[in-house]
Amino acid sequence: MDIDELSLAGRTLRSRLLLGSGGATSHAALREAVIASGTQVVTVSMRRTGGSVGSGVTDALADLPVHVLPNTSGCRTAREAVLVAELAREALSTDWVKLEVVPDERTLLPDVVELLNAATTLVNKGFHVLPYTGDDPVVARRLEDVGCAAVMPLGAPIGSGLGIRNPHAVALLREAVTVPVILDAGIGTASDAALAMELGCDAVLLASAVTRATDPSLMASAMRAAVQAGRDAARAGRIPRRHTARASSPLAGVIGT
Amino acid sequence: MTRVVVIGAGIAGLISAWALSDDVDSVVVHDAGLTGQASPVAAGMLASAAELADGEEALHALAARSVRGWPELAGRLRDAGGVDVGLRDEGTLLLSLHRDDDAELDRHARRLARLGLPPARLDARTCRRLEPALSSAVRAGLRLEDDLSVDTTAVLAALRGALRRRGVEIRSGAVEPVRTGERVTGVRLSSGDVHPANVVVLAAGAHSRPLAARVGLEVGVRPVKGELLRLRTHTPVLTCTLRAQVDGVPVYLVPRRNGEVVVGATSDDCGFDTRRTPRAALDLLLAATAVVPELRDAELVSHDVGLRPGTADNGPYLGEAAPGLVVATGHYRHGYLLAPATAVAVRHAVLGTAAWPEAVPFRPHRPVDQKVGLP
Amino acid sequence: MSTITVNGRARPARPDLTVAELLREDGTERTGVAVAIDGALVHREQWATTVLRTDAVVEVLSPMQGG
Repeated sequence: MDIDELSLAGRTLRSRLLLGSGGATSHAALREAVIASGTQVVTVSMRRTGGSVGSGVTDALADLPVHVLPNTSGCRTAREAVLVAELAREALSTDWVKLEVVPDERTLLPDVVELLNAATTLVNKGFHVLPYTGDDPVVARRLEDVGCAAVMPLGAPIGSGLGIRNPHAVALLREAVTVPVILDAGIGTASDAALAMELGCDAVLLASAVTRATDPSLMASAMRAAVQAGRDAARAGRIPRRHTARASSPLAGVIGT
Repeated sequence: MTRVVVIGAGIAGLISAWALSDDVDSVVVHDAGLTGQASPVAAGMLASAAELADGEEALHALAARSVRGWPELAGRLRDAGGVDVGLRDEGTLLLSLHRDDDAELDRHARRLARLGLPPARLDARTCRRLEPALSSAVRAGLRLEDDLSVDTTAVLAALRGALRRRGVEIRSGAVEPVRTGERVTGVRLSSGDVHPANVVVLAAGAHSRPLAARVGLEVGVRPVKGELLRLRTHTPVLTCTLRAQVDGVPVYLVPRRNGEVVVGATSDDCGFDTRRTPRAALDLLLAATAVVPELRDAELVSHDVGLRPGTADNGPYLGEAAPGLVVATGHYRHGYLLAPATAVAVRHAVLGTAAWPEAVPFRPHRPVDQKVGLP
Repeated sequence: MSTITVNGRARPARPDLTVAELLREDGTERTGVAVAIDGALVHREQWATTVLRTDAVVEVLSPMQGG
C-alpha cells in the first residue's frame, strides 16, 4: 500500500494541509478548526506578549498532535527576520521557521531580495527554512539553491481569498524545484486548495479561508477533503484537455432510422 | 453571619457587590488601583448582535438576555445611586465604505437573520438621512434597532454611590485570596493582615489569573489591550452608535448626549502593556474621520487604554470555582453588556437564587479548560 | 540606577539586574519565551548570569495567533 506521506524538513507528515492560526475568533474556535482539519502543522507569529503566556495560543494547542511552526510575520528586513527566527527557535524549541519578509502592509507581498538574504543566513544557522515567496520560478530555484527545506509560493495576496491567480506560474514553479512546494496565501475555498494540489504542489497552507469562514470547523474539514482530493487526482493521471470531443460510447452499432 | 469580600471594583466587582449587599451581612470591595483597568474606559455598547462572531451563539444567548435586563438596571441605578446612567436606545448602524466591506455587511446580515434578528438593510441615502454627519463615502448600512448603549463613567459612579448608601466599603489596596485547607476563607492585604470571609468574589478582570493561582486555581484570563479615543463636538453630531471597517481598521463611534463621542478600539494580545501608541491614535482617527468627517474639528479629549480580560472562548467565567470562591471575570469585551447576567450568576452562586440556563456554558472549569498542559 | 528599554518601554534597572531577575520582577512566564538584548538572542541557560548593562535594549517575545 502506498502511504502518501510528505517528507518535509526532516519530518514525515500524513496530512498535506498546514493551518495558520491568524484570524480565528478565539483560541477555542482555532482549536476546533485544527482538530477538524487533521493538520499536523500550525503556524504562529512571534510578538511582544509581555508574559501573558499561560493562556496563550500554544496552550490551546498543547495536547494536540501538531507541530507549532513559528513565522516571522511583521518583519520587514532580513535582519529583523533572522532575529525573530532565533527568538522563535529559543521559545518553541524548534528549528523550523516559516520565513516571511514583508515590507508593504497593503499587499503583504514578500521582498524577495531580503528573503534570500535571510534564508541564506538562517540555513547557515541550522534552521529548516520554509520561505513565503511569490510565484516566480527563478526566485524559487534560488531559495532551493541556498538550502531552503521547501518553497511556499502565494496563490494571491494573504487573506484575499482570490485563489490561485496564476496557475501557470505555480505549475512552472513546481517544475523548477525539487524541494516540496507548499502553496501558501490567497486560498479562499476548497476548490482552490484542490487546484493547488492538482497543479503539483506537495501541500497547502491556509489560514483566513478557515479561520474567517462562517463555520471554521466545517471549512477545515472541507479543506482536509479538498487537499486529499486534489492530491489523489494529481496522482491518478487526469485526461488531457482536448479542443474537440472524443466520444465515450462506441460509434458503431447505433440503431438505424 | 455571611461576609463577602469582592476583589476588584470594575463593573463586574461593583455589580456583584451591589447584587449581594441587600441579602448578606457584610460586603467589602477591594481594588488594587492598577493601571489599565478596562471598566472606566469602556465605551459602553450594549450590543449582543453587532459584534457577534460565528460559533458564539451561546455567548449571544446570554448577552441577549442580559441586555434585556438593562432598562430595569438603569432605572434602579438612577434611584439608588442618584445618577442618570445615560442609557440610549437609538441602536447601531453598521456601515460599509468600501466594496470589500459590502460583502462583509451581507455576511453579518445573514448571521443575524439566522438568529431570528434580520436587520434592516439601508442604502446610502437612508443612512445619511438617519445620520446627516455621515461621509458621502458610505455605501450601505445595516440597522440594529435593539442595541443600547450606556455611559460607563456614570454607571460606575452610580454603583459607587449606591454601594456607599448601603454602607458597603470600597477600599484601595491589593489583596489576594487565601485558603485554609480546601476552602477559600478570606483575603490577605499587603500589610499581611488576613480578613476572613465566607465568600470571596474574584472580579479582578485582566488580573484574575495570578490571583486565582495564589489559591491553586487556574482561571484562564489573559489581558487583551484596547486603546480608544474620546472626542467631543460642541453639539452632538450623532444619534446612533456607528460601526464600520475602514481600510481594514474596525472602528465604532458611540455618541453621548453631551457631544462626546467614544472612538474605539484597537485589540492587541501584548500582555500588561498599557502604553498609548501613535499607531492606535492614527488608525482610529483616520477611520473615525472617514466615517464622520466633521470629527476632524472635534476636541480630542483623551486617549485611553484598558486591558480587557480575554479568555480562550471569549466567554466569561461566572460561578463557584472552589469552596468559598466565586469568580465573575473574563468578560472580555462584554463587561457592561453582561452586568445583569453577572449579578444573577453571583447571586445564584452565593445565595442559591435562580440561575439563568444561558449562563451554564460559562461556569468555571468548563471543557475548554480541561486540557493537558495547563498547571 | 540605570534605564533599560524592554519591549520599547523604558524601565529603571539596578546595576546588577540579570535577565532572569528582569523576567521574574516583571511577572513574565519563563516557558515559551525568548529574549534578545541589543539585537542578539540570549539563550535561556544564560539568563541567570547575563547582567543588563545601562541602555540595554531588550526584546521579550512569545508565540501568538498569526499566520
